[in-house]
Amino acid sequence: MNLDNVMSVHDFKRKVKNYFMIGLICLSALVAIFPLISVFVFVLQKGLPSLSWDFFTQLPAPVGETGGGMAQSILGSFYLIAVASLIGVPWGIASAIYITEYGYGKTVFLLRFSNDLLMGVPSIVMGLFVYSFVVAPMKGFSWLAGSLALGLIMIPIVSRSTEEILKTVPSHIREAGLALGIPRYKVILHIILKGSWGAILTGIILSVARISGETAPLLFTAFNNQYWSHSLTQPVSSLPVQIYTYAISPFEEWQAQAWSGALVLILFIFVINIAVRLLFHKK
Amino acid sequence: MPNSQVQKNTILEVKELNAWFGDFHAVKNINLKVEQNDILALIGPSGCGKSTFIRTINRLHEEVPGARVTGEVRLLGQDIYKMDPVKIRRQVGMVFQKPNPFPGLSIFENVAVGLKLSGIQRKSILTEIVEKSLKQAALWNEVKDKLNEPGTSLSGGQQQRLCIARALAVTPPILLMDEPTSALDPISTARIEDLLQDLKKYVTIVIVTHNMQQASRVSTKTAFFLSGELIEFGDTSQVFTKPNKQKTEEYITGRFG
Ligand SMILES: Nc1ncnc2c1ncn2[C@@H]1O[C@H](COP(=O)(O)OP(=O)(O)O)[C@@H](O)[C@H]1O
Ligand SMILES: [Mg+2]
Repeated sequence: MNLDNVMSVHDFKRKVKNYFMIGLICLSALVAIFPLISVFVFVLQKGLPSLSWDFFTQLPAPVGETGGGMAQSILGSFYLIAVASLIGVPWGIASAIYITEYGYGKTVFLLRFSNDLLMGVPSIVMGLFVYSFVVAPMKGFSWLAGSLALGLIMIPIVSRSTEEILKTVPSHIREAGLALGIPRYKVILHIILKGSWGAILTGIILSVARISGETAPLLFTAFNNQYWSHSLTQPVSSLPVQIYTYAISPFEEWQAQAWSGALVLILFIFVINIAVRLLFHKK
Repeated sequence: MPNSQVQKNTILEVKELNAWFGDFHAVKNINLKVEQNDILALIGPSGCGKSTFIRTINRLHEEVPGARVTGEVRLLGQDIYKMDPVKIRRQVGMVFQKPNPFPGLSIFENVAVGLKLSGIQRKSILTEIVEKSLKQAALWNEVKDKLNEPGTSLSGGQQQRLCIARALAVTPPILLMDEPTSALDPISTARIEDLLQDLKKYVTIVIVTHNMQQASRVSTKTAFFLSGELIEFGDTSQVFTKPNKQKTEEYITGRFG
């Protein structure tokens, strides 16, 4: 009887402690997820009202008129990302292949270090660099210049993620390829890369998500455009720059559309992240 | 023609072979000959240079930064160190300690990849050779209905037989095996040991093993290595029953290793 009492007091204490800890854990999970949810809910509230079919299909309406959309910015963002990937992906993968498969000693250290530095360079500096070496000599903002700036940002990200993947391929796999009488470059292209492309693609897609929100490096490279533009040598609009332009404008309608643009951009990045996880992280 | 004497062809001849890792002299002055259809077992304690030695036979040793080789390795009479390593490796198959099918490649592709990447694209030829190699590796019946599944989906023992098929597909006259069963369970090990007796008909085998019973069961010749040196080399029955060197006897009776 006495013992029962002691047990139940002990039990009670244990339970209280348990609930307290669970509460604490839930709270910390909430703290972690709170900023994300609050940003998303806020942008959803602000952006949803002026989101319409027109937003995706129409050019901006002239000042004073209602309606219009950001179709040219959405297409422009795809253009910029596509050409940036053409630059950043092969370059990044080539750099990773050199570092993991060919280089050794000091060269590898130097390359890794310069990739780290490149990753740390503020994106606006990348824009300035491209401005002085491409925009100024070509005497104009352009799709190409914008993609170059974004591509430069992609290189170290793709290189690093690819490197991490290639490092997980055990060396005896490479040796097994060589032992079959396959030249090293073919072992890399047809065996090592073939077995890792899913993971490499994940890194590439995440780097796309990363550059799709970049604004600063585009301001003085791709600049902006209120009309359709399909030429590599002409200024091209992009979602982030259009959001920026509209957000600082004095017109209420434009500000509302900036929120819609922000919502579309966020959703795009969410979708990419979720898709990557669903596609490649099943196991 | 010399009568009763059975004519045997020398497949592999090693003369004064030395191998280094940087300054470290890992394999010292090896001389030996392997004849057609022999199974040569390399035995010796861990770290004595068995792996290093067989990796000089397909020139994988030199892929390690700082590694170096001197001496001669003759494969079918040709001095392999005077030839293109890529060509040499097509004539020397290798099976590794850990089963290592290529990830991302199907069972079929794993076997076909060596041929494909050396330029053979005809599907009919590939299909035929893949089937033949898988049969030689005693894996065909287990995989014939799932050739398009990943090689890595097989069990460990099956993966190792897949690796054997992969090596056999390019029809090398010699097959190197570096402790091919040390990562496998006893049943898979027994299957591979049985398989070696069949393979002997098509290919000369050099097998590294730390398992004395395995060496005496499967091999016709045995080479005992110690600290990078070849201590004793001879017929397996002789090495295991009447070794010439005291060290050999101590090792095979389990007094060290
Ligand atoms: N990559 C390497 N770099 C330097 N030394 C090595 C390397 N690989 C092996 N060694 C050394 O060479 C010797 C022989 O190794 P190894 O041929 O792997 O032995 P075994 O296969 O008989 O166990 C060992 O002393 C080992 O430490
Ligand atoms: Mg070894």
